[in-house]
Amino acid sequence: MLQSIRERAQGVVAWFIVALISVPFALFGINSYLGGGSESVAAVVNGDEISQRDFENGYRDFRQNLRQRLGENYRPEMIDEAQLRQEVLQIMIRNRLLVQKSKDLGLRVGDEQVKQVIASLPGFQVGGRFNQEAFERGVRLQGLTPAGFVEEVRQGLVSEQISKAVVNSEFTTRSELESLVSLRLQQREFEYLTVPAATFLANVQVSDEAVATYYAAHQNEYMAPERVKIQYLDLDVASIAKTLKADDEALQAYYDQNQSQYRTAEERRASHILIPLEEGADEATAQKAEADANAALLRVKSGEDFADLAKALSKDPGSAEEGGDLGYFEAGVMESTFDESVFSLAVGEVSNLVRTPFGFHIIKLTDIRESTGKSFEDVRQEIEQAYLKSEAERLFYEYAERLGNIAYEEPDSLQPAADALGLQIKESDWLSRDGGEGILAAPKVINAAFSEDVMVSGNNSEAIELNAEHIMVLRVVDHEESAIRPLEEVSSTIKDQLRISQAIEQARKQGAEWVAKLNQGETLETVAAELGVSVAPRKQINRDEQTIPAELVKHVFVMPRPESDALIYDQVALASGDLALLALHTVTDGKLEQANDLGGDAALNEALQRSRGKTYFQHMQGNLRASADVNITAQTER
Amino acid sequence: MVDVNLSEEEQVEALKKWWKENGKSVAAGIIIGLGGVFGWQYWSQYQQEMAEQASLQFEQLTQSVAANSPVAVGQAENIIASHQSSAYAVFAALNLAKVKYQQGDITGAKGQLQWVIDNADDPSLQQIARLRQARIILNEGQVDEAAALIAQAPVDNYRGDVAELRGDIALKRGDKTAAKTSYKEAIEYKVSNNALVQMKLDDLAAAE
Repeated sequence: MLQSIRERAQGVVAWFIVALISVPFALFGINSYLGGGSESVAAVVNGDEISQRDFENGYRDFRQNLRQRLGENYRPEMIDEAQLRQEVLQIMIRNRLLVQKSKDLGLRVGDEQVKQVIASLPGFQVGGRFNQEAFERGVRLQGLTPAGFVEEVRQGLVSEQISKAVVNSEFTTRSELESLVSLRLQQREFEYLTVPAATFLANVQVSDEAVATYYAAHQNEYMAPERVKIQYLDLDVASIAKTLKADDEALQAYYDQNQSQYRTAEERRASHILIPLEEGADEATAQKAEADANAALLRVKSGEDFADLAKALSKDPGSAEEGGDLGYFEAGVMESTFDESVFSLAVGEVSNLVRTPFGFHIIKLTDIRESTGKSFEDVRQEIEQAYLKSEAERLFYEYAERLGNIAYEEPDSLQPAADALGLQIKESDWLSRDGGEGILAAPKVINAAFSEDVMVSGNNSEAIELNAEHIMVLRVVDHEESAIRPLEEVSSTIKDQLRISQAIEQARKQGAEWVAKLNQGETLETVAAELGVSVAPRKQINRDEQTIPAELVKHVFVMPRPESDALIYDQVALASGDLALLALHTVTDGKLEQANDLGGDAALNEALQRSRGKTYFQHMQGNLRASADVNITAQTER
Repeated sequence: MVDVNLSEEEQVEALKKWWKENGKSVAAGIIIGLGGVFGWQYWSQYQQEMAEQASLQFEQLTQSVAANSPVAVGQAENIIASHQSSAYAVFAALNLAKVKYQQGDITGAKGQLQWVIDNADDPSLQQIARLRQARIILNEGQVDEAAALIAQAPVDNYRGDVAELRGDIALKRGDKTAAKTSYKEAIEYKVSNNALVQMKLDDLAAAE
């Protein structure tokens, strides 16, 4: 039979079948080579993939970090997510390039070094020392395995070495330091006068024709932006709370449940004498113990000191030494029979024999610490608020989901959702892409309002989460394309604008004339007298001068240096609209000896070399990026 | 090699014969193969250990340099000598150049930087060494040498830094117009201390 199979297997048909069968075998699993499997890819960096999942994790960590750094100032609605995601991706690409470079350079960090670094992280320490359990727990919390974390740390250390090598080896030469000090501590001596803006404005006339001409020529500067009017429903915990009422019963229950927040419990202090008797002991032992206990009780009742007796007779190892004292405790802490007894005694009173699983006790109540805090009546309002808030929070999630669902199912109106949830539809004024006020300023809201689905197709938006306790759904009710605003609407603005620019123009011309005069030998004093203003006293300033307008200081330091004795004259328009005429007398360069004014030359050196070293490193990263083959495929929108 | 038509004994006979003829080469092949695999593993292991050792030494050097410790020179020279072809030797040389420069050993510092220019595989590290060397030379007043050195710098992300240095060189030569052009280029192409270069530029206003 084998022979016949062998003979037949030589035929063309048989070969064909074999070839057919071999195809699926050959291609099995090939997709994991071609498309990177089922995992989507955010970017490919020199053939190395950053998966979408890694990117999402990186983005989440980055945001968390941001939130921690900003603390109270963190405002999620003010973050442009798309832009932030883009930035995070760029950072991740830069880091990946650095990792590749370090591999390329053959950099390695040994296990010992990695261990040292991990052991020094405060998060993995207990009582100042590294703790294996804390380490494993902490690592798992970040969604990593210990081995994965170790690799991550190693990678971080390796990448860091390049920056260390570049930044820490930077230095500053003496001439660089001198140049910095000479410029930074340069002093300039000058005097100046100011001509008020009103002088020039008074002479300016702007005709209606001029306005019309300007309008015609600059129409696209007077575009009214694209605008929408929206209707919206918003839902937040606080307003839900306002609609709720609480009855006394619910409040009382809430108070009882959360009593620990409002009251401290009553505490009692007791002493005891224990004559132990194990459970299951035989009759004789039990009788003996009871007899001993009764004897002790008799001695207490006959007036012997309780503490002394406890010391002598009690077999409770913890309290006997203390005269039987157990300290203060709340009801429910001790064994139940014991507890019952303690909480039924009056202060100073001694119990009869109390039988517990430990044996016989003689108990003396020594003190009562009254329950303190606020009674239900005292905190009624507070409780009502807390109760309503917690109820409202519970309802919020339910309502939020319903709001989203109804708005989605009935996309042509907000009314059904409003009716179902008892909400009021609110309407906005015109909104441009710059946003409105309050919640209408949030980029999320504006993005939704101008989105294709909402603005063009006229559907309700998705539920927009403004923050954890506030959501909204909106629809566009009116839309206006960007258009040129009519002349009447803008003519007064244009007129003002033209007047000011003409005044400035005039000031500049006048100023140029005066500067020319000054250059011909007239003095600042004579010009001042002519203009009816006075010259400010001559002054030597450095770049940090605070007492005169900043733009004036800035201008003083960009004027040419006076050569020989001739003064340098110039004019400058100030932010106030005034014109300043100035005369520069001398320029004195800073000296290295003055470096102390800037924190000493060692500190200057340090600062210069750090900033230069860092830029050298950044430019290295720039070079890596420029020569890299990077392909970004991430969905930066979610 | 085994014919199905032969009897069992004949087959065994044929196998024996084949082994006699080829046995040695097969054994040699296996030994060479295994030797290669283990050798390669041993070699990679050794390389990795060397890199880790150099890495540790580099970390120590970094600390010594930051603390201005006198042992830095010895540490750096040791890395360069015992890990010559590794990137850590380049890192050590960059640090050694700094230490020597700060000790006033200008020739030594320049030598280390030259070594980096000649031996670093990474073009950015070469650029950095070139810029530093030129800055040292300029500080020594050797204007033409500095100019010649940075004339060799390729155009990349260090363009701004190179331009600033070219401006400094021009200024030293007294050519204010060329200095201004270079400083403007430096500001346009990102330089380490923008405010400082702007001050240098502003200070040349008289040349207009």
